[in-house]
Amino acid sequence: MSGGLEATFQYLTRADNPAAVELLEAALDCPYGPVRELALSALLAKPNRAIHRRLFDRLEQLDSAGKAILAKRPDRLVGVVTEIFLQVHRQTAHADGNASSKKQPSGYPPGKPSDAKGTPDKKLQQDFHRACEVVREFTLYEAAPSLIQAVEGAPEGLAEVGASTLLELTKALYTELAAGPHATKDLKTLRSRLTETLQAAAGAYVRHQRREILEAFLILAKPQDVVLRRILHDRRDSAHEPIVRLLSESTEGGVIRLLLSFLEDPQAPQAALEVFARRCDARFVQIWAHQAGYPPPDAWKEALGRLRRIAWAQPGHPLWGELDGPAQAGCVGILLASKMDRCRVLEVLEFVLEHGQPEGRRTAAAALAQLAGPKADMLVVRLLQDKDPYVQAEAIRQVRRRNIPDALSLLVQLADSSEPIVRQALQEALPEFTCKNFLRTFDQLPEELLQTAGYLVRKIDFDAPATLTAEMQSLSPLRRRRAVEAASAMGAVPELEAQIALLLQDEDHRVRIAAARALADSRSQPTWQALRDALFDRSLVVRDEAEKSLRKITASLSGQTEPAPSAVPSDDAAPPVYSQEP
Amino acid sequence: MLPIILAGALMVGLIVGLVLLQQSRWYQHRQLFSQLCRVHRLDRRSRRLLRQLESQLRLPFPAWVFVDPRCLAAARKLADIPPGQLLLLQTKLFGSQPAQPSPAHSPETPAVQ
Repeated sequence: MSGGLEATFQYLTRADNPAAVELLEAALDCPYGPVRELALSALLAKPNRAIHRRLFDRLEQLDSAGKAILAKRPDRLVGVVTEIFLQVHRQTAHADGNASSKKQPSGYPPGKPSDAKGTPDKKLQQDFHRACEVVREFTLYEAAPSLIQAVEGAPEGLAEVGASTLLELTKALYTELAAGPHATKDLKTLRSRLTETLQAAAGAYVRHQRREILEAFLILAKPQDVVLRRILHDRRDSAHEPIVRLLSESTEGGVIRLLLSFLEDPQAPQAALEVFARRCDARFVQIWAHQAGYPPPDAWKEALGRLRRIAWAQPGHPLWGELDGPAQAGCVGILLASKMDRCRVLEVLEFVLEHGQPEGRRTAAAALAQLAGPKADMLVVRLLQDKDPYVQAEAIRQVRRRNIPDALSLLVQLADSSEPIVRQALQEALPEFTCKNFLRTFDQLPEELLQTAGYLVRKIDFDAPATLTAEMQSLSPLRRRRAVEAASAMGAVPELEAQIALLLQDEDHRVRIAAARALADSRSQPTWQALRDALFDRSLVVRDEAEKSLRKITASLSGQTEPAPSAVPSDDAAPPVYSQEP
Repeated sequence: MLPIILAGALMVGLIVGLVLLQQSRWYQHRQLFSQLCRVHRLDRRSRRLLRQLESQLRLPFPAWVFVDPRCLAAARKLADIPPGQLLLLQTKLFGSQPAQPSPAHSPETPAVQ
């Protein structure tokens, strides 16, 4: 852009001379893009409504660059379109006033809209249509209050266009507000201003009967809105039925937001809660369930507790097939928090467990904990064999609490599971099968039970090796010996053989005996070497035990058809078997 | 006495005429032309040249020559215009690069009417 041209237009922007405006308006037709754009910017900078009106009249001739410039100064168009809307309002209101005073004195039925509305002249109608287009194109939120006024009294054709424009504008505003928590102060102020105007318009529904106005109101309204609550409480209000229908059918984000925010209110209008009971559309239920989660927020519990029936809460309802896993989980949470009959809830949970997504099934299994009775018990026992380890784990946690006969043996059967989540659940369900308990009762346990109990403890208690290692380092020789014997009974020697081998040097000979005996199950060469060293122990019994263990190891190695290379005793590494004491 | 009254009436007439003149469209456009000449610090010769262009090209407004680069381009075809001075004006008013018409627009051509 040349400096000379810019200087010209800067001066023309500032100039009070009416000839400057004339020149600028002529420059809008100049074939040179920069000249047109500078002229448009200069004209928009002038605070003169008449100039803006002339720009509005030639909007169709503007190219995309011109429209982009215009979009930077939407306030210039707001004044023009507002004037048009108010003019329509004045004409129709004036005609309405005349009509009502002359044609419809007192007996005019209040529920019926006036059909004697004044029709604005053709030019104004054209302007109105164009103004609506401009409002949509440039999202002129500030024009909304005057548009509402115009729609309220306008004849059918105009009212329809105006109302749909208003709805579109409201949706755009809601999208901007919802885009992030950083909505500008201007937008928030605009929202409250617009909501006030829409409140009044919703209250006057009997006059305009425009569903779009009500929907626009619902998109922006807050659940505490006085007018909204009055309409929802008063079933005789003319707007009550259309508002409830909109709440039941609208898939607009703003309406769904409003509806869900009623759940935070313990005094939520009954009409709103009935909508929750009725709505079965996947979009709404999906959003509702996602927000609910499992368990639902505490703030919702009171309102959810007022729901006695929910339309989709039936086994085999097609909605379940449309929901994703987390939504199914949320639905389970909603069902449990509701006041629905528990038998019916159990039926639905059974259905979800049968046909649901993994997340839904897992939540349903967890939710069973809140339902008592033989049917729920049977379901839990069945879930112990479920293919999903998470579902299995939920069932495991519930079996003993339900006093199911033979619960212990059912759980013990699962001890072989390789799934960590199942073993974790078993640990919670069988708290007595811990290594510490095993060590405490070790000396009292009959010989024949030691192996079984030890095996279960090893399977269930993840911390067993650590506990045994700590025990082997304790100051008490009795505890050290018991730890070695317990490790042997649990079959944990291969895991702990390094620690046990150290105990071959223990000061207490009974500990050394236990270690030498336990190491018969060892598999590594250093341990064998330690056992060979134990053949020179000062205690005869220790030497005996060491020899026995070495013999056992040799026997087991020679019994292997194809021994592993590391286990094959070589000349210097194999545990020598002494037939006599050294 | 009469000459004084006549002189007074003449004065009033002159003032009224001046006010009316200032409010006329013609005067406003002339004034805008002069103001733009001042903005661009044009000398007397350049001003004279621009006025000459206005009358020869029959421009819609005297100041049109400041906004439409085609005027100076059209002036090159006129016989009695010194090309050096035109180039100087072109640089002052529109920069060294002659502007290209935007293809999207189908213009009238006010500068060469």
